[in-house]
Amino acid sequence: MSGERNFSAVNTKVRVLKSRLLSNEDYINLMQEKSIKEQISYLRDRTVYGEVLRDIESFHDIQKIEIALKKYLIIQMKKIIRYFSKEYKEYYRAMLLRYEIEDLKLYLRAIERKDQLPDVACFFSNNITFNYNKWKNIENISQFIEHLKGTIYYDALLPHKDADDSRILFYMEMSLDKLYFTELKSKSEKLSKADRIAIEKLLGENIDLLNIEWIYRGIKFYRLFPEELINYLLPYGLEFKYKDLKKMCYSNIDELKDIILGTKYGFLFDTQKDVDLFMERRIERYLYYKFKEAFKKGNLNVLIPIAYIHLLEFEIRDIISILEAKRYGLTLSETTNYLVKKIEGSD
Amino acid sequence: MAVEKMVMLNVIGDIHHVDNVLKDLMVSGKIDLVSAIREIEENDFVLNVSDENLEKIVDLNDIKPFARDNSYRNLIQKAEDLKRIFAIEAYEKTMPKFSMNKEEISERINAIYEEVQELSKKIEQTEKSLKEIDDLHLNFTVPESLSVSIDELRNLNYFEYKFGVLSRENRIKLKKNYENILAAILHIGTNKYGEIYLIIYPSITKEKMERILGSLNFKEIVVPESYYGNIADIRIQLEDNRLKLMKELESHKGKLEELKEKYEEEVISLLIQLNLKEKIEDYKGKLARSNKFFYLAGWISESDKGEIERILNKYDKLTILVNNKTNVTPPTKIKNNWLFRPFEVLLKMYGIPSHDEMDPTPFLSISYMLLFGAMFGDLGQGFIILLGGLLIAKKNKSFGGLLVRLGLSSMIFGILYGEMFGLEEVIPALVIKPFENINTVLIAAIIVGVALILVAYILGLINSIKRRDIEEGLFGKEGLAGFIFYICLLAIIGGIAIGRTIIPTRLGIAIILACVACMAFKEPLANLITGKRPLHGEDVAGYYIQSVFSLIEVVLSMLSGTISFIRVGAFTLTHVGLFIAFETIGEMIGTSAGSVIMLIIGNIVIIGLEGLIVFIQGLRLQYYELFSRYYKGDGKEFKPISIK
Repeated sequence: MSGERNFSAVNTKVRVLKSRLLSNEDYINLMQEKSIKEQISYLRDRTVYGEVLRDIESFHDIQKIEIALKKYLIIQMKKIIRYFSKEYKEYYRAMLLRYEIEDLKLYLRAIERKDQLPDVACFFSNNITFNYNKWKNIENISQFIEHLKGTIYYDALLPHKDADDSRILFYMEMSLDKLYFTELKSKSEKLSKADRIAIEKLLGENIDLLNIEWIYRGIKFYRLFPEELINYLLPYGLEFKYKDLKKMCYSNIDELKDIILGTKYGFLFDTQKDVDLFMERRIERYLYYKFKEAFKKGNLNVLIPIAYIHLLEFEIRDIISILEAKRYGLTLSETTNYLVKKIEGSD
Repeated sequence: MAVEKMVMLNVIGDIHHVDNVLKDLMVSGKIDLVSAIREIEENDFVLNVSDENLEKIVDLNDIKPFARDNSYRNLIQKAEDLKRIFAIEAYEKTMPKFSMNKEEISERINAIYEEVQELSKKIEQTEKSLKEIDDLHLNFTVPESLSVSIDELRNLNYFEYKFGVLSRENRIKLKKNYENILAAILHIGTNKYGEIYLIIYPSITKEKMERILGSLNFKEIVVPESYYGNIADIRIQLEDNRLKLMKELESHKGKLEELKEKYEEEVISLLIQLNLKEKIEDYKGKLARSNKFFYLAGWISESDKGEIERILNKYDKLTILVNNKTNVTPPTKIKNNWLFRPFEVLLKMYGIPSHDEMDPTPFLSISYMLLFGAMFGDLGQGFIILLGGLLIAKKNKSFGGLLVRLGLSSMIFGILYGEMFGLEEVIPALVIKPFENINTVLIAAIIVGVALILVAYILGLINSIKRRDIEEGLFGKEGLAGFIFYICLLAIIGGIAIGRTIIPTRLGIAIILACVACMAFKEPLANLITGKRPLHGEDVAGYYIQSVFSLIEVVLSMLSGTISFIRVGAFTLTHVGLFIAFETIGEMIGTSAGSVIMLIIGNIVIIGLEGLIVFIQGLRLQYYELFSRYYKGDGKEFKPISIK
């Protein structure tokens, strides 16, 4: 089927949705509000997020705000999915897994820290039947995994059930990410050739960057064996062949930096500022521009909705960062350092 | 006609009787409960102040809902478990033969459960072990892949080993990095999850190896200590164990069967009792209570009043109040004789008549049978539909019944038309051969349509009178004005058609104009008569714009609605025509076997396809051309409480 028929309606819809993203002015206004309470009022009264924030009463619990904002994202996603059928619908559904996986990670972290289980945006796919009362009593990770029996997550998490505690989160998070990208890959194979290639290119960079981050953290913080590290890496990257990744896994930190500096992802280490602290933000900002570019160039193809969803996701992350920054009393210019979107004067 | 008059029944009684009263009412299946608390709040529990009633009235001030007794849920859960363990099939929900109280039931269920549970756990355990053996067995399908004995592996001092499964994809990963992995990896077979490997590695690299295998999603296969020897030996031991367990399972199952024999009936009886008690708890939600009394409110039909009073009179100190409530809409209980009852399905698809409306089922039934039969008149095919109806009636009584009646109607018309299985020569026509009298059939269809529409107008008028709706009844497009308009229109057009004057054209047009004026000004006219002021509702201009458009629609719909009935004739003809097509194909084949096959195929297609079309077209005429003229259908169905 031609792109016109597949995408003209949805892309019009997505362009409208995108026009509702916050402007630079909104960002600055939001940062200049005096307190978290005023920031939330601003979001509620003057932005599209009002529709999900209307019922918010507590102005202190940033987590609640985050959940509400994520719900907004999921609502938009579901709106978009309605425009598709068959393979394309499947693909966008698979994209939703990512948010479910993020929620699972939140749970895993809470269990690991022995915290109370957090509220989550929602388990919305049919993969998990969520019964809060049942889940509330979970005490350790094995119980948690048992609750996932019958879902696609069970097989991915099971081998790490008895892993030693300091690395268990690393193992599980990597396995979940891998599951997500593998699902996306298998769903993308059923799309038209042009769409598949476009997606592979965009996601390939995402995967490359995640792999670099994982290798870096695996070596530096978790001291993984190279033999195991290489097995956790995400397949289907864009720039790196297995051989390259293997070389990276068998390097020490300095050697890894040197290798990366010689690639297009050199920007990760080519900086005077704190590498570790800003690594994730640098990755996100890089992707942010990629998605923005994809959105601009995108001409009736599959990327526009994907790009929109990611842009929205980054925006929500920024909003939360802005709220958190206010809580810790950061100034405006300090805050901008932590934002994905580039606002005057941050690097 | 057949909408029953409903009255409100209020009952106040001793709180100890509440379960039994509810049970009796459920058995009768004649009362539709409403919230008693709301009734009391609306002050509809009106009692005479007398000594006898004094306490009940005083207690009304202390009213509260029943707290739900949820303790039955656990018992039901247990009883359902027993039912599952015994593999008892579905049972009929009837009135229990015995009546035990909660403690007795609970005691019996727990006793049986205790006795059965241990055995059931054993069975489960054995089945689980059997499955483990089968799984293990599947992993070691190739005896020659490993001749070394597992004992030797266990006895290694400086090495450890693991059996396990790797997916194909992960196996490639392992292969790519062989040079860095300090282990011997032997392929020993395949199962449905992937390839099976034996991995042997130095004990000092244990942690590293385990982590690497974890990263490869390696699923370990643990061979229990009790197995020994090489793979061929292990297979034999597995087989032995399997046989042993099978025997055990057999004997357990035998015992369970004995227990089932012993307890099956009792479990069913307990379940029936529990379900009834649970149901009573459900219905109690609508009741109210004070410390000493319960308060119940519900709709019953006036004709059942005597019977219900008789049922309730066996309880002493029970106050029964029956009143005609006028301020709320009662639910509608429709009652029809056996001939019309299946047609209630078609009615309910559209809507339930409200309490001040006539039940249109009789008219619907007769006219629908007439239309269906006329469109699908065939003695043989009608008989097939009738047989199909009888068959379906076993599963779905009302739809089956509907088909039986339609089939009968089709057979009658088949005799009138002289048709049997599409063939025109087998039986003579009593009245007319449709295909030879096309014009007559089409004209007859319209005449039937006109007659039906006239009846619909009259029914509409009756409904308006029942509702005391002057605006619609006198001046509405479905009321008297519309009716007269339609008759005059028919008279004028009919006169032109037959070339004679039925009504002088000028007079006719004058009457029509008067009717139009009535319809246009219906709201102010009605208000003038009833003395309501102001004459118009809020938006005067809007009202007239709307009424102009609705007038245009009236004229159009009268004409199109009438012409619409021509389809009845058209389908009568199609029915014959379609068969002629099959007959022709049969003749073209030339052999007699060929024509017989075509006749059979033709009949199947006609019954299936045309039968469906005619069914829908008939329904369409009912809903659009007839119901819209006389029927609102915005009532609420009467849903009595019952055991089922």
